[in-house]
Amino acid sequence: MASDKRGARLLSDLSNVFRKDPDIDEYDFLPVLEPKQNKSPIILVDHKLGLETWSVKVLYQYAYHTVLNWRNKGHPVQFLEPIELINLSRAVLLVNPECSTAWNIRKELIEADDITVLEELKFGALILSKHPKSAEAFSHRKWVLGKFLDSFLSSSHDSTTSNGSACSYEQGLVSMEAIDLSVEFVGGMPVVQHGVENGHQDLKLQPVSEYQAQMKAELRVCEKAAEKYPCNYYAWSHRIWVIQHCHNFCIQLLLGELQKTEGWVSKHVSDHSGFHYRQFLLSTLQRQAECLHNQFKLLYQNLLLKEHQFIVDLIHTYPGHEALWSHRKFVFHISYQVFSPEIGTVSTITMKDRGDHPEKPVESTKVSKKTRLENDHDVLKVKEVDSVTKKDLKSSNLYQRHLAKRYLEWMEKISFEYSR
Amino acid sequence: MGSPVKDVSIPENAPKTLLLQKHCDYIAAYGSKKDEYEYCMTEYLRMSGIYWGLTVMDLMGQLDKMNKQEVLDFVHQCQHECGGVGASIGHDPHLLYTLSAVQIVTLYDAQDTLDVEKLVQFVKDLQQEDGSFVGDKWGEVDTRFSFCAVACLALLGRLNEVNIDKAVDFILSCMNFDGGFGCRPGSESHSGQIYCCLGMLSIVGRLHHVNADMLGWWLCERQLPSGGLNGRPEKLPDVCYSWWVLASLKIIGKIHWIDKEKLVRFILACQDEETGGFADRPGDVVDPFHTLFGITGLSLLGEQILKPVNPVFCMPEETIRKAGIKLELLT
Ligand SMILES: [Zn+2]
Repeated sequence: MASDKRGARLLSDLSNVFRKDPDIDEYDFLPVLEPKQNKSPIILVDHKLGLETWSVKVLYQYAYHTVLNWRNKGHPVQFLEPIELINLSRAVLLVNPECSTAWNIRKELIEADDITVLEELKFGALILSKHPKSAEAFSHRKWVLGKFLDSFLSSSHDSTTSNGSACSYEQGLVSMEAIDLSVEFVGGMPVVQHGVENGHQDLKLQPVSEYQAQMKAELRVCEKAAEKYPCNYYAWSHRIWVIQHCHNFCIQLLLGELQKTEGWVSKHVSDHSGFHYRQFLLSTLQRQAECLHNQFKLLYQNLLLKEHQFIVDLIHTYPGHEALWSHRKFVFHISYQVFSPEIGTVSTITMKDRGDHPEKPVESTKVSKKTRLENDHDVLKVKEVDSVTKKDLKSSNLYQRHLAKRYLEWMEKISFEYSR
Repeated sequence: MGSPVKDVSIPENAPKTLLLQKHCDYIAAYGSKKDEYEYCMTEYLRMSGIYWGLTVMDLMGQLDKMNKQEVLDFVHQCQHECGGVGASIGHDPHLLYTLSAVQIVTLYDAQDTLDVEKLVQFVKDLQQEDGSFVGDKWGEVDTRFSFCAVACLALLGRLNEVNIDKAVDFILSCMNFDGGFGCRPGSESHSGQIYCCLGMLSIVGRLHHVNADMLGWWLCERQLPSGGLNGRPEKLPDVCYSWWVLASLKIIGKIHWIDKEKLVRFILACQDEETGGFADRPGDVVDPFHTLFGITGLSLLGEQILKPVNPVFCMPEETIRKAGIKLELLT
């Protein structure tokens, strides 16, 4: 068939482009509907790849049928070399990243060492540059990162198994130096021991810093995808997964992420997924509150107070955003628990007493200084109701008033639930 | 300053009645007029596409317009040695399409089309130590897969084959402060995931773990002034999310918390008078996926001309009853 011949030709052109430039980092389809004489529909400028739309269909159909026919052992039975499978599956996925079978073929190629883990992470990032909310691209990425992690752990001989301990920090897990924190934290960097004796061939000589660089890059991949598509559920749940599985809930990283996303969510006040990510960070830190205090001299309650001030400021600056009010609910909910009389915490610190440096986590007060009010969380509630009633219920923005009213009703409901 | 609510407005001339026959014609003809490129772009989910088409036709009382034998032959061909079913011939097996296949053969009362023993084994093997389910051998974990696994087994009468206690524990570990559920522990609440988690808990009779008041509150806040429901805060309303939220509210006994009339008006406005079918929002291009959820939404809201839909399996209530499946719904 003529279109098959043309498809084969396009595939080989595309494969050559990737062979010549392994650092292609973005691509898109160019709105050219008809082929032009003597001009290739594949354009490469400065690591950016363009494919004319007419060629996309021809290329996709050829690659798709060839690779699926091979997968299904259809007729005529065909033998395909690994390099051909790499090229075919790449062509399919550039156009249709939801085709999970094509991703699976690549997983098999990785297992057979025909594609390296690092090459595949790069390819996945390329796909996400055009399809930032591809569920299958993120799913495949988790599998590839799992491989990367396995080979790294097997090449480092101390015990770095994730055992759910709150203070994995002390076990010298791999990721500590990967973090950018402009806030100075007390406590030195952990000593990471690693050996090379029984490493995976792909990775055996890679130092810890390579792992860290890769994981840092992974967070950037998530951020880029979140930037490209608002409320990107896949990008943000992937980011959570990375923190959980590749960084083992490392406290310093959690704090770093909390700080880093403050600017992002302030610029994307409608993006509930970004705020949820902060909720994930804060909930995770709550479980490590003791560690936070011992190692970083930070009081969890103060992080909450800071978050409360942060969200209230945003709500006043950007009235009428459901995502913001939803985050406020979370902050109130968790504070209401943390400041509960049973747990017994710092009643001496109130919303107003946060200190003069709201951008800096507040220094912990001495534990012995704690005096306990009867009902810390009732005080919290009264203040919150007062602030919403005096300010937000009187907003000139109709929707803000609606959201404020709903918030008060909701607050009534949850404080009732807790008192049961 | 205008209202910043993200919503759509329903045009004056949008459809206000159910164009039943148009939808039947649209679904019956779907596939026959698609071009080759479109066909292979969507083949990765063909099995689910067939389930959507058959279910919506059945709810409209016109299942006989579909080619039963052709469908069953196709389903049979898509089952792999391992017992799992792929989306189409040559596609790898996955729990998502395995459930669609089981739903299809149940609609047709033809479960012997599949090798049930192998299929059950496939599902069983996907359960993990923590009770979660992976979608296939490559290991992606998602609460959607917990629903798929349990729904498959329930339809086949084989629920006892997996560890239900652990499966429930995993679902509960994905619950958030707002009462909702996400795809994994720590993930954001999402209407589609909530539907799957509630469906799973309903099938195994563990809905008492759910905070129905809190979750009902969150779900009701999905309704926008247009009447349509969105899937998460500050997203646009969508017919498919309208179904997931509505079905979730039905499962936890809070369907009366939303404005039904407005929702009916929104769903009807998503019809295309010319081509038949429903779109995600008024004026958009129709597809079988949103057509199914438009119809199931209207059915759950009490549209008498349609067969009643089961809120958990998204199949005709009569099919679920015939299969002898008992579900828990909160009142
Ligand atoms: Zn939709």
